[in-house]
Amino acid sequence: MKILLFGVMTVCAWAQIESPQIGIMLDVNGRARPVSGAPAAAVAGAPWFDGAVISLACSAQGCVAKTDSALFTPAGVVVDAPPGAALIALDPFSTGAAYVYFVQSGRLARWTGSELLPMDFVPGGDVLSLRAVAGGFEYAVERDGEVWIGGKSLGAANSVLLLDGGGALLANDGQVRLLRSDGTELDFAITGVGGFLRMSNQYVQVITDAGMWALDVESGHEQMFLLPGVSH
Amino acid sequence: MLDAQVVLYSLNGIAPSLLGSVYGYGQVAAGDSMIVRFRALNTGATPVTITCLSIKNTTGVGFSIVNSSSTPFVVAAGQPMDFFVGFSATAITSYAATLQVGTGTSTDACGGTIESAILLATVVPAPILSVAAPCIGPDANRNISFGRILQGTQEACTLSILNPFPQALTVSPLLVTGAAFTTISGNAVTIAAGQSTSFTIQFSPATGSAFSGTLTVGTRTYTLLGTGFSPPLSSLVWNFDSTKIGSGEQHTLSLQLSAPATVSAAGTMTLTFIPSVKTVTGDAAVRFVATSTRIASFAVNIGATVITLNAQPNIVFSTGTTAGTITFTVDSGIYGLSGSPSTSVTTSPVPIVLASSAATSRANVLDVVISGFDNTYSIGGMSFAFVDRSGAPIASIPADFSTDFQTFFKGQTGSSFLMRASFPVTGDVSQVGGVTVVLNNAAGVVTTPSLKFP
Repeated sequence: MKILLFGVMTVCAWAQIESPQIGIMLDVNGRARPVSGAPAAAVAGAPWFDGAVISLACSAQGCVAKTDSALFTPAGVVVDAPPGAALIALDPFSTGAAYVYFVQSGRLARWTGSELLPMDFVPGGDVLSLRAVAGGFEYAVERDGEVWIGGKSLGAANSVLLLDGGGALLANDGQVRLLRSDGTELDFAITGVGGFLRMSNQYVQVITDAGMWALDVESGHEQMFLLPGVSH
Repeated sequence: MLDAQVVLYSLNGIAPSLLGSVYGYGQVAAGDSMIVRFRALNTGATPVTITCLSIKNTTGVGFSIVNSSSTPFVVAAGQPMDFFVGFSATAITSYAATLQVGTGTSTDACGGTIESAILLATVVPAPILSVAAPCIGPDANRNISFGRILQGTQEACTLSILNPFPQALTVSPLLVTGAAFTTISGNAVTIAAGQSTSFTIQFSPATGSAFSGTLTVGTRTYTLLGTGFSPPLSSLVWNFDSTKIGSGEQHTLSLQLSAPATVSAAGTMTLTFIPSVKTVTGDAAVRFVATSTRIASFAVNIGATVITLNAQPNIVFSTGTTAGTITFTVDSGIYGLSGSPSTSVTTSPVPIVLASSAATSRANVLDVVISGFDNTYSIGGMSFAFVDRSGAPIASIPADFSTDFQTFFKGQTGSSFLMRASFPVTGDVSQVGGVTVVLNNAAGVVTTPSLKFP
């Protein structure tokens, strides 16, 4: 049995080689650009389109982006959407789907991949981040100066991103805290964080006053890199 | 009537002065030329045609019209016609001429009504000025150059005035102007026949910039030119965040001066990269990351040692994924720099650097996915050691994907790769429990962790 199995393997092995993709970043002009290469030697590609994206989330299943007035995917699906920024939680349990919270209007919708379906939602605070979980979603709100997920306080933070699998990123006081679902924590010294953006399953874009950073959130790989800027 | 419509002016620069019956050129040094601009202004409401524009030298021959529109020339109402009358002569005497402007017939252009003026000039002996080193000149434009000297220092040049005439010559005025130029000579000097006299002019630039002044020697005026420059910036102190710099890394560079800057200075710092791999010409990822360029601005304030790069205290650069030499070079422009303006760091060839590796299986296919980079661009030879679910070896399969990688690298600007090696199998795929991959390149061997198939 073994002889037959590996005789075939030896003869027919082949390799496909491509450039490694880090994810999609937003540059300082709001253009969504693919980033490829080694993390510390990454190169940003051409923008998706010549327009500004104000909200974006990407994973291995794809991306969902929002301009001021529309929600769209790189595949070309475009639907009208309430104005302003949105919090987008891609649903790993349903390929192409996402939960989308429109910050300005306070409305929540389910993105099916082709349309937005309104959902009833009474968050009880300013919604900061969403995360899809099996059968639904979780969200973080600011209440009394602290970040809350349900009944659990994460303390004060300027920016929050809920990660798939139960972790979270919080920015406060010149550092980014990576909280794991097992209770462990890793801290990264970085000032001026203005927000997080999910670039891919593995990387989160950390937007700061001084530059754009990529944080590898994969367990055992946690590291930050400066993302390539836009040459003028 | 011409005299009703045309009024003559002389111009000193652009300011016109009504021309009287006599205009004096004053003293002109022998052999020098002096040119005066005149204007015939049509003050009437109708056009007038000027047919006559002439100089009649009445005493000596020295005056001539050197530039004008050709006649007949129609001057519109309210408009001027400008022309230039030059004077030059060598004989030491007085000269006179009559300037005529008129409207005559085609057979008698200067007949009829004429506006005219008498022009006078006196040629005087001209001393000969010479300049000793380190100054240069005077050139054809009467420029005397003091060259470039360090700001705050002084340079003295000796000038000589020769009287080539057989009688004593008084040179007056003898004047120096200009903030950076001084002399202790008197305002006039008398030079015996055939003799010369010397004096010094001192150039003292207070700042690092260009200076000019004038030297008047009798009827002649010379331009004094000199440039002060700032002392060069002190030597650079290059500070990298690590002494070990390799491929696939980002590092921070900060710059300092070894001594406080004596002037606020600015310039650029450029990055260049020369691969040590002969098959590639560059690596686009080797650059300053925040701007994705290979050039940055630098600036330092007077009295400071800290240099800002792109207005920041430091700058992050990527080493790319190609072995080679990265060189940083500062161009301080006019400020100059003591010591070397460059420094280099070298990224050595290393075994393949793995970023991730995983094993997956599909129906009748085992996949091994590996990402990383090879800064030698020589990846290809590998071996895959498969084990069963109990960890017992099944087989070690060599493979050579060199051709695939070389083809892939031709379209890339770095050596990053994501490889999916696939092994079709017959039989029960689930028997295969794991695989360990050994990858070779020109710098060595690297082995993945033991990868488990799901």
